[in-house]
Amino acid sequence: MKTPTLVSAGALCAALFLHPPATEGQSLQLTWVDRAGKVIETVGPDGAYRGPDLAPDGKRLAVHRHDEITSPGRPGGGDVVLFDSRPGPGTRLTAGNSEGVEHAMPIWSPDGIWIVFGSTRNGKGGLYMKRADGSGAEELLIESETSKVPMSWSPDGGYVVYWSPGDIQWILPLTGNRKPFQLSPAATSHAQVSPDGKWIAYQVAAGRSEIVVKSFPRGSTEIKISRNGGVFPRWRGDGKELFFLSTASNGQMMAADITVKGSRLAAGVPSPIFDSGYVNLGHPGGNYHVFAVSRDGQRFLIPHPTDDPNARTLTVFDRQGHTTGTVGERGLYNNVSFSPDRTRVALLRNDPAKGTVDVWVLDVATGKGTPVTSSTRNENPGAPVWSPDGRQLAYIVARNGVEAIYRKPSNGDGSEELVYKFSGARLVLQEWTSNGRYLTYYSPQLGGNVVFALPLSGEQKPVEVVRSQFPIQHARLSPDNRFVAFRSNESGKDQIWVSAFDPSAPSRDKRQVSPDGGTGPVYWREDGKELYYLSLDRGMMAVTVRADSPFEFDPPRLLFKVPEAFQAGAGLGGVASMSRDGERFVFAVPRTPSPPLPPPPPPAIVILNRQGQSIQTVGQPGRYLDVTLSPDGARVLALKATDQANNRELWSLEVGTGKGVLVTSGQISSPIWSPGGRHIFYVTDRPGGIRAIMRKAADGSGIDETVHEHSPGAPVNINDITPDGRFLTFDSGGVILMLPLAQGDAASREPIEFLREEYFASGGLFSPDGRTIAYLSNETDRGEVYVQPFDPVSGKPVGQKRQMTTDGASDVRSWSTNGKELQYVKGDLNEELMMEVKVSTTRVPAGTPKFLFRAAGGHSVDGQSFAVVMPR
Amino acid sequence: MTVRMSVLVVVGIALLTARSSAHHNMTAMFDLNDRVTLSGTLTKVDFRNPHIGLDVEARRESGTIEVWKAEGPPPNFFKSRDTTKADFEKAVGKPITLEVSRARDGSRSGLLRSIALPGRKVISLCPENC
Repeated sequence: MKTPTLVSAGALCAALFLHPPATEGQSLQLTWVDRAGKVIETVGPDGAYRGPDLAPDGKRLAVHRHDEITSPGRPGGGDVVLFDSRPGPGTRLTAGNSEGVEHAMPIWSPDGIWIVFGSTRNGKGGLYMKRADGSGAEELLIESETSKVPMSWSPDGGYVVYWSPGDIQWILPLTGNRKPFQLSPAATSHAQVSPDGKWIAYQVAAGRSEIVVKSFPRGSTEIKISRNGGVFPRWRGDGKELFFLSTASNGQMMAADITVKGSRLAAGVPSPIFDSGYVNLGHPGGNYHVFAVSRDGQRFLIPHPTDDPNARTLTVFDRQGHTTGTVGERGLYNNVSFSPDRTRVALLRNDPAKGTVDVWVLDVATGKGTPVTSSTRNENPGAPVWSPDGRQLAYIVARNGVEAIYRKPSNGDGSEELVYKFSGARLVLQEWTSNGRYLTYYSPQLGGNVVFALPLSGEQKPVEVVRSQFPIQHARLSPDNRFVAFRSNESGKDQIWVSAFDPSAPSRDKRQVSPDGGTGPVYWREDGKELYYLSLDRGMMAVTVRADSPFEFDPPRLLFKVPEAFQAGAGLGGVASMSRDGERFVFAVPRTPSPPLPPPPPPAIVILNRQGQSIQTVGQPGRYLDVTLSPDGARVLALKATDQANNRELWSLEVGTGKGVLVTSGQISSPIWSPGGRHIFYVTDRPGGIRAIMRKAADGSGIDETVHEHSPGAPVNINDITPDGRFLTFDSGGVILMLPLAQGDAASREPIEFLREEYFASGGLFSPDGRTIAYLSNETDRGEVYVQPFDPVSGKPVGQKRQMTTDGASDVRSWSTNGKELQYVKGDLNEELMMEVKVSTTRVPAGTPKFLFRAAGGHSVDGQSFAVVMPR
Repeated sequence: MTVRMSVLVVVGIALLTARSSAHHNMTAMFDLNDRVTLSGTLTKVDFRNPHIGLDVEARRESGTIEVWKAEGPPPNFFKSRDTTKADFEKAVGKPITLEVSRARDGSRSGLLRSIALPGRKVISLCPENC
């Protein structure tokens, strides 16, 4: 016998669906590949996707998207997202807004109408069912303290298989009593019911994971499918092939032929078909499916890891900011530098696998990369600079722990040459001057921040170019070596300055070029007539140099705005470079974050007639959950979700004008009107698992009054109040109770057990004359509508109950004003139907039910008009 | 205002309770780590929602007879395990064995975890109460 796991809400969220996979926080691209593993197309933007499930039509896709990337402010949360054949970010089916709440791992119903997903809302683990088109309310299928992850929906629609912690999988019947039973006494996961509904494939979790199949739903003999380790089974649409990933070959997609003869199933030897790219097999596999497969077994949808989120694309722009092309693959690039002829780009490339950084040169036309250095960990070469003829690159690197300037042919051939060894550290190479005579470098020192020029010939004694008590960055000598431009914040703001340079007489005079702030990079055109820098609002600025003796310039002018992927004011000194002719700009452009999915449009409150036609919309759309008409039909009581978990607002809205008042808010549920419409009764959750029935004025005035506190831990669903206001009826755990309102106070009121039997009873609507109650019961193993006369004085049943329906019912909605008909909902997996049946005192069943309209939800007070919450 | 039956069914089985007809917080009332195995004669059955109730005259190791009250899941739980009200009623006056989680107040009452009716295999109360 297993020991129960009672976990806190926080632990639930952590333990749940979401064994942290190797892809935790990693961006993934939903990718269709063929049986050769060749990419066919991608779906939607990248994101932290898990558990893709393909709709039966093969066109729609449901997937869980974790929010850790796109919503950093909502850690641990996630939602169900749907994609169809249209491009775009997809549609969010669930509307999670609470931190840490997951709506996760969707699976499709066999008819493609419904989605079942797991949720950690309310600090519990629940399975919810919702229409894939987003309409209607979510239905809770099962909820308890332990988390649940839907795995498979049987083709007949009758069962949902789900996973729970400890690798226990349960089979939940969706009809009848909905009591789950265990798939296997052993630890298992990733169950998949076969297309014919007669078999179930799953992963046995003990020891080495293997794929097995047994008959469904209650088979015991396991037929082994994988031979050498397997995980994540998926059936082909005709059931003649079973796919899984091999654990022995690092994620090879395997296919096993399946043959069924009568009651026997035989599997062929699995064969590899392609490398899935999924390398997370050491991980227990998470508890969600990692791929989906088309019905014909020819296409596989696999979330492919995208590159590092910090990877950048080398992009070349012209002077107008138009993209002229990209260079090579995305990569972890930094310190980019155009070659003098702008045919190549030198840069630092980070190899996270090796933990090394090296100088590379990429060919602009072909994208081909050539390594120039081959460094070990911690050597970390610094920014490379080009020799004026483009044949060499110089860079600073700490070989054997000592920083030094080296140079090497830019084609990577030959060995590097030591140029100058420093006694200090933290030096940054700035440029190789156009005359080829100096290498400039920046040295932050205690005595001041200095840019030095190192002569490459003669005595290698560094010459001071510019000194400041403030940091100096992006220093660039003019092509004639008479001026130096640089960035400094000595004025209290980043600005671009130009100072005269004379190796024999360091200058202290300088002029501010940027009128309103500037940052790197800073570049001179090769003729010295134009200077470039980046403004603090991402503007690539050009400054025309009018005269050089003395230095004179025109006001800066905007060339273009750099991509929004760059943060304004941050500077691009390390990731941007300009060609010497001033015609091309190369940027290492970071990924533009995927925009968060727009929330689904809020639903609206709509009044329908008996044909289901919309008569009127009440007020503005909102996150309404439930709606109840007032006794006179002039107002609606609307329960509205808020951003705060479990917190709801209760509004009273005028049907005619849509004007409303906030009656109350908090952890409230099942609101109803008093018979005269002057008060509202509702349930509120209190600490200790106590549900209290409250009463408050319908206009929101005054304070709320506790009418009754029920037993701790017991659910309370208020259903109706007798026309004379004497009794309020509610149900709790299959028992219908009557609460005498006219007697005593909250402490002394004791509910009367009206109906407490072996079978489950719920609901309860009083007839207009207040002498009969209509309710639901599963006495016949299916929910049906019954009516039971009762004593309006004692609140106890009198006479015999009568069964009104025989074809199933899931809710009682209203009595006709004359008390001769009942409106009720008949639901199944496909539709919810608003039905009507005549109330008979003699016949059982009472008569042939009449179909009114299709709708999920709806409340009426007279059987003529119905208030519903509908998606727009 | 009514609530959908399916929701109620789920809620109904999720919470087991004490001796009154109403639900209670089972972890507050019963110590799930304190298990007691009882063998004795079933004397009374209340096979109704929201949970069933059993009275048992249990013979302890000391030879004394103690009257215990056990609470279980709702009747529907047993129905799904092919065990009916009639099966329990037939067992009245006959020996049964059950395992319960003892009440925190020290009384001779417990939350049912498993039960063996005469001539029947053991019924585990998982997943609701295992």
